Amino acid sequence: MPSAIAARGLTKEYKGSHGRRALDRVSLDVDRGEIFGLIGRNGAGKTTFLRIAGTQLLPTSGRIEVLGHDAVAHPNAVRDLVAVIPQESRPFFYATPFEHVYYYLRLRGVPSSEARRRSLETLDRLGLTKVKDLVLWKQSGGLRRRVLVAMVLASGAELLFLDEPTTGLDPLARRDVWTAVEEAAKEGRTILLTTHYLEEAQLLSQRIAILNEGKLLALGTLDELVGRVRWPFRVALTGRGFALEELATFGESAAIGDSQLVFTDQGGAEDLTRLALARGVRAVAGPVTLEDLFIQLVGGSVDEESEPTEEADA
Amino acid sequence: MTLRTQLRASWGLIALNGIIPVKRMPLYLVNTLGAPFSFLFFIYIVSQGRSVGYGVAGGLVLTTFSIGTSLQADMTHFRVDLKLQDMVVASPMRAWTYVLGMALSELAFAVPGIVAFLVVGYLTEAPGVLALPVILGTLLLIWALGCSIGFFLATYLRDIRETFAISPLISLVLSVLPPVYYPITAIPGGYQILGYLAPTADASLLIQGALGIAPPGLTAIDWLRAGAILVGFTVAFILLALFKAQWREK
Repeated sequence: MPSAIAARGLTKEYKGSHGRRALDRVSLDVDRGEIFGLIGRNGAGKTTFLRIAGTQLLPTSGRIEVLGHDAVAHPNAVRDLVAVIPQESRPFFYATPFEHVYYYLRLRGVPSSEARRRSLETLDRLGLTKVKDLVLWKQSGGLRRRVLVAMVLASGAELLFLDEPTTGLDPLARRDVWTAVEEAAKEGRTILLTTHYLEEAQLLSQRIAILNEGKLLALGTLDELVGRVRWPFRVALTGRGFALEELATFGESAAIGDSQLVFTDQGGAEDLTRLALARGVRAVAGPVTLEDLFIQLVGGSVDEESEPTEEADA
Repeated sequence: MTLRTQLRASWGLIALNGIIPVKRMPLYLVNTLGAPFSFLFFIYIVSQGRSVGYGVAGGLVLTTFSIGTSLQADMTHFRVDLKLQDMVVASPMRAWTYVLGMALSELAFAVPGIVAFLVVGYLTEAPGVLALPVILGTLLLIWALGCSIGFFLATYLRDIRETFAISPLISLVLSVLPPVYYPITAIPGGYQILGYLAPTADASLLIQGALGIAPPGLTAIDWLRAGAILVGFTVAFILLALFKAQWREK
């Protein structure tokens, strides 16, 4: 069975971008039934990749197959099988959550009674039953976002593209979405997820790809990615019980507010933790998180730069 | 999806973009009807009630053609602000179903005005037996023309604010300046051909004929020319929308 997504040398250069590539020869495979996380700073090319795979945008060069169909040559074959939550999308002002999900299913060709059943079921799964008949203009941004998530989850599509689906949600609402996404994956659906919440990517994704300036920087499971970095362990120290020079002997260190964070190897983590305890400094040691990895691989923060687009450069 | 399912799918858009907003915000209807009825009122006052028929013909054309400019604004809003078009592109719904659904949804705002103008026209003029089919056929062409222009432009606009600049310009060029609200014979002889070049003026002329208020002295060639130009423009813009509108972005 072919991969859910197979990209080979996928490149996108927007008109007027003066040679800057939004995607630069990206090759990757997304397996069927997995939750695949795509992370990177703003402008890394995540949304461009998603929009090409979702048949909303043409690549400049390269090949991409989605569920066994050439997404460039045969977009309609792909469109029958996918559903998308675009980045920064918003629902209608005047409709209720139920109307959104129900009519989205209707415009995907789902018969009325089936659309009604699936709408109610999905809204319930996302904790939206109580508000299903309230017009959205009076509701919070988080609730509106959850309605969009409900729309695509109810679609029954084999492959879901979720472009930052939980942006603006409170922690509890985010967890509702995570549960629903995990349930969709358990049903055998493939999910391509982009997110700025690295905790979310770490928690949900079986495999993660890191894009940077249009290039694929790393791809693998969290363990595989950890294996690629120099310092696979982190020790968080409360207070300033150590001089930075002393910490430098263990690995790389950074001061964050009143705490110190040290990236080191396993032996260094054990030694530093023992030393911290001996000095009465609180220490929490463990493997690096995805965020640590991201910082080590990409450098800088998640929110920098903007993706080149035709509009931005026109 | 089969052809039948595609057609049924357009109902989702008719409900979301037409029926639900009209139901929850009826003020939209006032906005849609405001301009055409203002012109009718103005013509009624200035002509002391004698040229109401021209106001009716113009109102029918303007109300129906405005569906296209509304469509342009709504589709730009859906594509740029809501990103709904992205959701639809990546779905089994095809571009033509989307445009059809959106174009039909705009009728929810326009139909009350069209009905009102027809009632006024039938009460104040003496339409012939074939008037209704001629009027409805003409409006169908104007609807298709306006929607094709609207869809084509909407796929290129980058911000909803750009529609605020373009829509009034289109209305001015195609609804106010040409002989839509006045008889084509009001234009000096040698320049009348310019009036015929606006498809909205041809539509208005055909409706004036159906209402029995067409300017005297028009020959069969004039009527045929009006019909041919209207059909020609409509077909041309449908083809333009089919082949040049951007469904999948480049």
